[in-house]
Amino acid sequence: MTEQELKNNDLSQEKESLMAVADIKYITPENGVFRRTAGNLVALTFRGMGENGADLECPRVLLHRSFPFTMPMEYLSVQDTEFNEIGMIRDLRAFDEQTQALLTQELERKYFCPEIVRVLSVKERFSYSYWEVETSAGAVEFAVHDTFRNIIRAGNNRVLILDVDGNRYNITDTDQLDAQSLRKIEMYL
Amino acid sequence: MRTIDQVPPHILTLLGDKGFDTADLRLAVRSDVDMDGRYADVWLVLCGDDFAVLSGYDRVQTARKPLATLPEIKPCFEQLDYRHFDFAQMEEPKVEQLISGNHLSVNVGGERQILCRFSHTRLTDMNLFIALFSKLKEGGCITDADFDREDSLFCPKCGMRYPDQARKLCPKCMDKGTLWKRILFFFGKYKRYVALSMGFMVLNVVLSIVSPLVGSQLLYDEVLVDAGTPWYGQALLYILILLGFRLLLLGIQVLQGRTVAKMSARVVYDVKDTVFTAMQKLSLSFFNSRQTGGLMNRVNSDAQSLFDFFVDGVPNIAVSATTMIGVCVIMFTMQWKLTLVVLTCVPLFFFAIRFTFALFDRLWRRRWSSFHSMNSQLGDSLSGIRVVKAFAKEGVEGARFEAANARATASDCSVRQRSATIWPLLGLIINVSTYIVWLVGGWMVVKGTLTFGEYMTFSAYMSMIYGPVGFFAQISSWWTNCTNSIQRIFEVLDARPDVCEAENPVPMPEMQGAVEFKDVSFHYVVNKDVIKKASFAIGAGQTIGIVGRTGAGKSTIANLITRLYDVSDGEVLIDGVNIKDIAMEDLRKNISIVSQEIFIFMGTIADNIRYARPDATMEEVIAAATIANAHEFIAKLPEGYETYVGDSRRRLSGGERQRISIARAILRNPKILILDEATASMDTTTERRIQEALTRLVKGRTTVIIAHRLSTLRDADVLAVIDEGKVAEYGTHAELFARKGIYHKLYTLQLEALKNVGVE
Ligand SMILES: Nc1ncnc2c1ncn2[C@@H]1O[C@H](COP(=O)(O)OP(=O)(O)OP(=O)(O)O)[C@@H](O)[C@H]1O
Ligand SMILES: [Mg+2]
Repeated sequence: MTEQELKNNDLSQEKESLMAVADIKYITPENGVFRRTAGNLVALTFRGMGENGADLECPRVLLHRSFPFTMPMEYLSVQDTEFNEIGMIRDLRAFDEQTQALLTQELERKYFCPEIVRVLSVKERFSYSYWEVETSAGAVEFAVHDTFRNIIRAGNNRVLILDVDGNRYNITDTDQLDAQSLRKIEMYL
Repeated sequence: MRTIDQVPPHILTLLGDKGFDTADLRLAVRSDVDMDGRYADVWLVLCGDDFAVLSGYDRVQTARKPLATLPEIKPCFEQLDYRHFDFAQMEEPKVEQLISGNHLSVNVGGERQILCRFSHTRLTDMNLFIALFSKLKEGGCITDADFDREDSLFCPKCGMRYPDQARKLCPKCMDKGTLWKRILFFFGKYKRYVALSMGFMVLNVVLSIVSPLVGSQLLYDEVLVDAGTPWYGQALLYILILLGFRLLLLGIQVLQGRTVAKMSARVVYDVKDTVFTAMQKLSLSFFNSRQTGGLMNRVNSDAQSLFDFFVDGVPNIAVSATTMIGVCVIMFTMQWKLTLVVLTCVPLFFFAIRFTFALFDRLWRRRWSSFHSMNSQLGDSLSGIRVVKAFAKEGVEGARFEAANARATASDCSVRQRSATIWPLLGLIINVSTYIVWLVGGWMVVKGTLTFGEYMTFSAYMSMIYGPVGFFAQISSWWTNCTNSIQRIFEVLDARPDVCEAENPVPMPEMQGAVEFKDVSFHYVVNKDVIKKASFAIGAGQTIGIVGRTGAGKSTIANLITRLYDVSDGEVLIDGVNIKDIAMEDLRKNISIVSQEIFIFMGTIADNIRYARPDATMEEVIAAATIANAHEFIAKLPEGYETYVGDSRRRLSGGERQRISIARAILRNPKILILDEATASMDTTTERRIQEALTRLVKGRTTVIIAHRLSTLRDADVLAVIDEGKVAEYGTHAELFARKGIYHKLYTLQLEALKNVGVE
């Protein structure tokens, strides 16, 4: 073995032990079954995770993204109603389509964040800016305070806008906006 | 009968068609998002015992605008979805606050159901809704008192949403005049300067207006003409007069500039001072929601923009206006035809300048923000240099900076390139209009309708007109920026501290030190209680130990005793008096806290210890330091008590900082002493020594000790175990130990840990 290989080996071993120590419970299609309840909520059966190796039945689970910007469908934390983590989903796409649809809808509700497709007007009045936009969820008006803090550049061309009430709006790629919309928001980017 | 949202008649008709008895309307609220995540109008209506969720699009009003501002259109409702519930079966309504959307859920026949979704904008209304819903459920009646919240989220005049709910101020309808009047108030102190600068200004304008008459017309028509006129051949005298005139003008301009600068600098100084003082008075929650550093920077730059405006702007308005009018009048009386030629070019120039400024305003802002982010990037990696080096990440940091730098450079380039293009173009407009005047004027001179002197004078006046025109073209953007700055300054000045002294505070110079919590609840963020109905009492002179898991709310309890925050529910009593009624000064004087997050101010160690009692003698400082076990290490420093600390000066170790802050707290000689993990970074021997000294000192003092290490609490008379914001266990060590609860577990765990160390 060359020195380099030795080193690599060392590193990968260290990685493994780190994982072993953390002992995160991952929910996979093999050991977890999600289903919709009558009340439009999500329930989970986590096989072999209950007491004495029985199945763990969770009548209601909540989902939380660990990397909401870069990996919205990976590393999802599944929590009970008291926000204690039951387990993690490494990648939602490993599940069957039905489960994917169910959990995606649940996530979409929690991270309600309409995509801005067109900017109709942006007006500055004192330290507030008033926006009139068309989003994927429909037309809407909102006000932003302190544009430095509340217009967040997340990644290359991605922009996240927080309004005075704490609602979020997203622009996935500013380059995809039409020229007029872009010009209206240019100075905040 | 009041509901939360007024149900419009056409919705009532619709409900009536579905078999609702709309005469018995009990509660109605509107949400703005439907179940599929689209903006819609969703009505939740309770009539009698029937509950309906009706979602669709309202063609007249949307949930985000009040009705009053819209013109009358025939209302119609495009229904998407309709659900019906039996009120008797609905239990436990709950608002579930998610990341950026919310649910309203309810138990129907034992099964939890989502009633509707809504955006944060509707949160207050929805919270009110569930409160009233529960009240009705318990058989209560809704009265007007239930609606005692501030009436509207919207400006009554124009229907615009108030940007800041704490200050009901609509930027559109706000009286800008008042703003300016208030800023002028700052000038009130300097009346003499104002009068003086006005005087200079008038002189300045008059002199500038007559100067071409003296300068050009006299020269060409009187001096440089054929013999016979009284001025002929007196060129030297004339030059001297001209020079004198110039000097006079210069002198006046200098004096005026100096007066204005002096006055404005003082006003800006006053403004900054006032703002900073006001900021100090605000409660912590104000700073929690803002970046403090950014805030002060902003105040600085706002004050600067005020300064610029008053030094350059205001005098210029007067000067420019009078100059423009004066010049026009003179030009018209001299040669009205030529004047008309000149004036045709002026509007073109005016709008060109306006456009340019709007453009540059945008570009400069972009440049500013990219430089701002570059600087904060730089500051960030420099202040974290230890971590950067520890992980050998210099290269990455360099690359990150390079990216920010490249962005800043690009925006800088674009500003400079454009200005290199646009300004010469603007110059061209002036040039062209000058050429036209030369052409027309020259022809008039040749024809003899205009003397050469007049022609030259006229040219001089013509060039005088572009300055003021350009100035007026940009003044509006200047004005807006400055009004913004003033508004931001008043935002700080007008912010009301949440924690403020009672109107008739109870003076309590001498406290006994009995503290009582009565059903105290508290939250930093709405709907997320950190302390939940906590009740306990500490007798005067007692020592209480508080333990609990990290994040349980221990430090929060300390914050509540010191009244850095006000409780949201219940009350905190000191010697039986509600803490809200106690005079702030007495409260602060009697309570000292060594907080978990220690702050060392810039200054000497002695200054830091004396911070709370600047009148303390050095002997007292040394005594306090000795009790805090700090004297030993301070005495070893080359500069002793005069060692400069804080900021990036000499670094102190964690335990050294803690000891200084303990010394600071005990020098105050408080009746109630709170130690929040005050000895956590010290070795056990040092801790022991401090404790022994403290026990002698704290006799008769109420002491609250918060600690994870149980050995720290061995002198405590009573112990309280805080768990998830509640007082889970309370009693003496023996009592709690016998209870075999959380404390027992904690104690045995720590004891075992010690044993294991002993074994190995
Ligand atoms: N300024 C704040 N704004 C919002 N939440 C806060 C703030 N300060 C504290 N919290 C939250 O309140 C809870 C209680 O915090 P607190 O500081 O009282 O805990 P603690 O018991 O002192 O913990 P530790 O033992 O780690 O010091 C934590 O969940 C914390 O995140
Ligand atoms: Mg704490």
